[in-house]
Amino acid sequence: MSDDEDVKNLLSKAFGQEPPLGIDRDEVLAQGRKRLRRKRFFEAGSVVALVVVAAVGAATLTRLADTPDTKLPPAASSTQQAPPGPDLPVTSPPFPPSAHTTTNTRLPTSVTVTQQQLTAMLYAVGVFTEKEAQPLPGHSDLPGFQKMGEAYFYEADVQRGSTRGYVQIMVDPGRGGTVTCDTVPRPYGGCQIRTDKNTSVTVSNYQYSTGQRSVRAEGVSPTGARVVASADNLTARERDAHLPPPDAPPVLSENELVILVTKAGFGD
Amino acid sequence: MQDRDAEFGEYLDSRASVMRRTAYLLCGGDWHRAEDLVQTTLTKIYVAWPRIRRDGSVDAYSRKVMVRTAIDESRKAYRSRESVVDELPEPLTTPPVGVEDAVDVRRALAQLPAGQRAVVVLRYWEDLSVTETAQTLGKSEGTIKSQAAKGLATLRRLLGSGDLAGAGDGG
Repeated sequence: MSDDEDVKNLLSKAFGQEPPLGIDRDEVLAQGRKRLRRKRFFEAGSVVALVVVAAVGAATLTRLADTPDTKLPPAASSTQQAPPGPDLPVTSPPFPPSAHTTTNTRLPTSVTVTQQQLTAMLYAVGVFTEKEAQPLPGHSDLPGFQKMGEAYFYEADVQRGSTRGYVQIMVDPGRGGTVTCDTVPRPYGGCQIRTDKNTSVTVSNYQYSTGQRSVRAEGVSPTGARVVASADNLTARERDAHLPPPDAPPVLSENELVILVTKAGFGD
Repeated sequence: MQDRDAEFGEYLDSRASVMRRTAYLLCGGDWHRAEDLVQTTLTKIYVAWPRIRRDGSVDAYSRKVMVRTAIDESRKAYRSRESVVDELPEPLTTPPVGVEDAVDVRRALAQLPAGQRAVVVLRYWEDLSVTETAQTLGKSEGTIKSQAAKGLATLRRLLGSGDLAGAGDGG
């Protein structure tokens, strides 16, 4: 017996009574898909400004959320209609790297924002409630912002009445830059730029051969925070179960995503 | 996505038990931590699946991810069973028998620093060459030989094992 085999035999003695394997295949797949979604989201450089809503603005935002889409026209400056893109096998929009320019505008360093504060501010906007947000498959904790590096990340399955879908929000304080339809993930069905109180937001929509539909909004606030919010017409739970998407729009409208992205402020 | 899930699922079913044993040794003899490590490793493999499947490097990638994750996690959190003591306990004078064997080998493994333990596991449990071990850990071959020799010397001393008397990393 070689010396190496002696060592191997010794190591084999460490196992003793081996317990049954406790690794759940479906759980691993769900975690893997989640990690893949996050990786694709980050690769676009899509990180987001802080969503901060002053109490005074909350009521206004609630009214805006109730306003039909036709009453919130896009900015006249730029509307682009891309030709239909190829059918994609992916279940979430691809996020190519974006070319950000930097600005000198940064958030006040005296402001400390916790994940819990971010989550509370998100629900205070009034686009959807805490009760309407369900944890993703494999998670028992209520949805809330999680810190990932310098950015904050939120995801949930949102159920509002008969409509439902996966919602994802990224926040990157002080990231700055500008937004254009050139840096929006492609292929999109349409992209437009909306301007609201000196904040420009790109709004893009996607539709795939599977029937999945998504909308995405990205903006940079005057304080230099970058926010990206997206909504699907399919929940993560349905996607993991390989269920077909319903014939319905994404759970949040373009206007609602614009509200999430633009109604931001600091220091209050 | 469904093809990825099906292929990856087959890989998981065929390799999870084997991976867990390696993870168990890397974690110094803890089945719970071993399963956590395997689960973390598998989720990372899932993300890279198309590329590593195409390259035919699934097992090598899996090994690299698992070992590096184990070392990273051992550096993050202090765990008393992995602390490196200043003085080694007295070696056993009589070789243990049966269940006691497992406990003593586990304890001895846990005494090794995470890096040395990884080298010993890769070299002698996974049967990797010095070159392969160096590539997996991102270290020089000289470092691998040195750490293997130190790891075996510690195990030899802790276990008083005659079986390791001649073992060493000749290359």
